[in-house]
Amino acid sequence: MFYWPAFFDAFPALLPGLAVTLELTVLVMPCALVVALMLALARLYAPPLIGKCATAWVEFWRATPLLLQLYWLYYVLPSETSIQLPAFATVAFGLVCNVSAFLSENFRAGIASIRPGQRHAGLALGMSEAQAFFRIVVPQAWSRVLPETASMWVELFKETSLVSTLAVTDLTFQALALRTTNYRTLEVLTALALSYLVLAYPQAKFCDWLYRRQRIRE
Amino acid sequence: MLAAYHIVSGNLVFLGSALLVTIELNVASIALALLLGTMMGLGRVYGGRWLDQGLGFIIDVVRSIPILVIMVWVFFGLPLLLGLQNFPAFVAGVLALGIHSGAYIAEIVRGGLGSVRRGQMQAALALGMSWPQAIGRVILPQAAIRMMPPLSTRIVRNIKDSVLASTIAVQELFWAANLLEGETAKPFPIYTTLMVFYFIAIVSIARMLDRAYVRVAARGAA
Repeated sequence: MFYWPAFFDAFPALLPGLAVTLELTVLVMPCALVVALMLALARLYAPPLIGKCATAWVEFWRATPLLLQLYWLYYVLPSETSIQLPAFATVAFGLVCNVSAFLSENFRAGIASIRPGQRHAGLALGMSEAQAFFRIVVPQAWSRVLPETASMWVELFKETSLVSTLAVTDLTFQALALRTTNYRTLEVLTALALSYLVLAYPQAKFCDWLYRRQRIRE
Repeated sequence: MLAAYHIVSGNLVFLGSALLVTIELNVASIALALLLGTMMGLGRVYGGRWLDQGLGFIIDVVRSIPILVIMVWVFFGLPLLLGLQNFPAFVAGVLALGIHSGAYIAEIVRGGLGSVRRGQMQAALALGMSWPQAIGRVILPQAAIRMMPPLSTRIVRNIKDSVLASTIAVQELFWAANLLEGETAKPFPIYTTLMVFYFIAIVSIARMLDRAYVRVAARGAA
């Protein structure tokens, strides 16, 4: 019933898709980190109006389904505005917005968890606001936000599978396409699931290790 | 706005039945996830070393595979493996979401049970309770309250993930929106309306769960 040759043959066919999945993950994460930090800073230190806008923006991206966000960008933007982006750029933009919203919550909580006395002490020693932030607050907040940030990376790696519904030729897209040409559905989809498993499992274990390590240090 | 109004009012029955499917899908999958998660969580904490390791591996496997992949595997692959005919998409959606959320809930349950101090179990046993009694009457009620915040996050996530059931043709809201978009070629009013709907629904549900927690939080304090 399970035809092993079709299962093994599926992996080489999935490889080009894996490249797209990794490309998307590697491209989106650094951008999301930068945007998330700006959003977190806006919510913590900017004037109330800007902070409120940043909060509303974050809430919007956190409280709606990612697939719907990607569809909205993919179908509505080109039909209502003159913005015509290729599919890859559209989904990358959507993923950056979504992931940065979740990351910014994490950053905000991490920065807020460092007692104000730390910043005051830095300022009292003659540091500038920027110095106190980057040399006193950030190093302490870093170890607190790191495990959650690493989890978000794994989450993003898995979430990129949604782009297959918008004709971006990622790992999932390749598998679904292969399925319709060789009719070996069970073998191809199992190979797909196994590919994600082999790649994400070590990353997830690494995240668990980060969480454990942090618990000991605090 | 006007276009959105016309599309919604012209398809009220259709959208109503799709909303019902979304609600049924979520209620069924969250119920399944809570059942699976509680059983696996209890198994990991009280089932001994081998069960703990075995369940831990299964949970990590499920958590490493994207929900979309689980969904298409359950819908297209599972019936072939089991030799089933006419496997309903709705059942596949419930199974996929239930298993996926269940794996995450198992970890929440495990963490919650672990947070109840050992003395509680020892006191219950010293009073003559059996293990199931001690777990059911002493440990779980305390753990349940502490599990509420991460559980509500998971429930909200389940609702957001449920739109993926549209990819296996479960006739839920997002599926209905895609169909209407295909008919009318008006993506802006359709997807924007759905977005606003989901935003309001999810924020309200999150607030509701949050308020329920605040009401009982004091009773779960360690």
